[in-house]
Amino acid sequence: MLVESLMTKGVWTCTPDDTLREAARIMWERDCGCVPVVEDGASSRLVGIITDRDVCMSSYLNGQPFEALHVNDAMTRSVRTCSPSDSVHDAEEIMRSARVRRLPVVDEAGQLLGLVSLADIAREAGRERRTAGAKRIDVGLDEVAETLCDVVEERSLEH
Amino acid sequence: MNVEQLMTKVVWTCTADDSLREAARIMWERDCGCVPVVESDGSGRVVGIVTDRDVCMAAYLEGRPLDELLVRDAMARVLRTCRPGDSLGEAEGLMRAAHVRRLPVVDDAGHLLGVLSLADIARAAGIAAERGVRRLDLALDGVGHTLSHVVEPNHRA
Repeated sequence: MLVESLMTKGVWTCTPDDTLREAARIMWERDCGCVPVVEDGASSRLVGIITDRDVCMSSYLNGQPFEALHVNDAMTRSVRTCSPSDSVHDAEEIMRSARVRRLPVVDEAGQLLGLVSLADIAREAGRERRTAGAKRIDVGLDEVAETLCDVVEERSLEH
Repeated sequence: MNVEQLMTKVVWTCTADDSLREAARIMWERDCGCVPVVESDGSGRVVGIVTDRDVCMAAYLEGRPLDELLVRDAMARVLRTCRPGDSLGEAEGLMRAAHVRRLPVVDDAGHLLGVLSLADIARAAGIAAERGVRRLDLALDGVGHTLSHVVEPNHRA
């Protein structure tokens, strides 16, 4: 199975000049934990990604409310991506090595096409396990769990 | 193997009357995404869990800075807990039923001892698989199965 058939299309985006309040509004209204950041309204070239944690930590570290801060100051710029024609297995390998749970999907020009998450892969692998018939996904639930333990390692309470 | 052997023993907690700034400080300094919340009367009884997302969403919805908001306004109240002597299978069953990835571990009096996450179980299952140990209560595909139940769509289009 290819990333193309599993990814979420039409994801909401923000731009570097948006306030953190605007990013948080999207996270609230769309019930999502991260928002891809694109160049500007006209171009959907991916320039970064921002998470609810980034918003929270930026506000804490700067001692400023959300409306006084910009996405540009809080986003992660070096984002690992995958292509729609990658296999789901390849995407999972990238998540594992980059220790992330979500990957933006971009075309050759770097334009954002969608997002694929470890949760998407887990759901599909779980669904296929419950239903008889041909396997379309090349990733097992055991691999999903292994990837999960790789990507969550640094998030313990004891650090 | 039981919950006690895998849980993360809690070092950092906040109280329901702390500000969200204080909760964010702990998350930053300890590089963690969630902080258990205990009663402010010193009893150590667990009343909730607050995550970095909870802090972010509360500040957005109230339209106020972190130091003007309290943990009690943002935290999720704890409804399910497990005991140190519970089996991993029981803990996973609770996570599956409650659609949560983390469970506070408490003693008989409700005092917080630690937190067990699905990631803790996944790590242990990964080590067992590497060593070629097959255990019914530590199967990686079981963890993956639970994960497929508890993950919420987090970037709905």
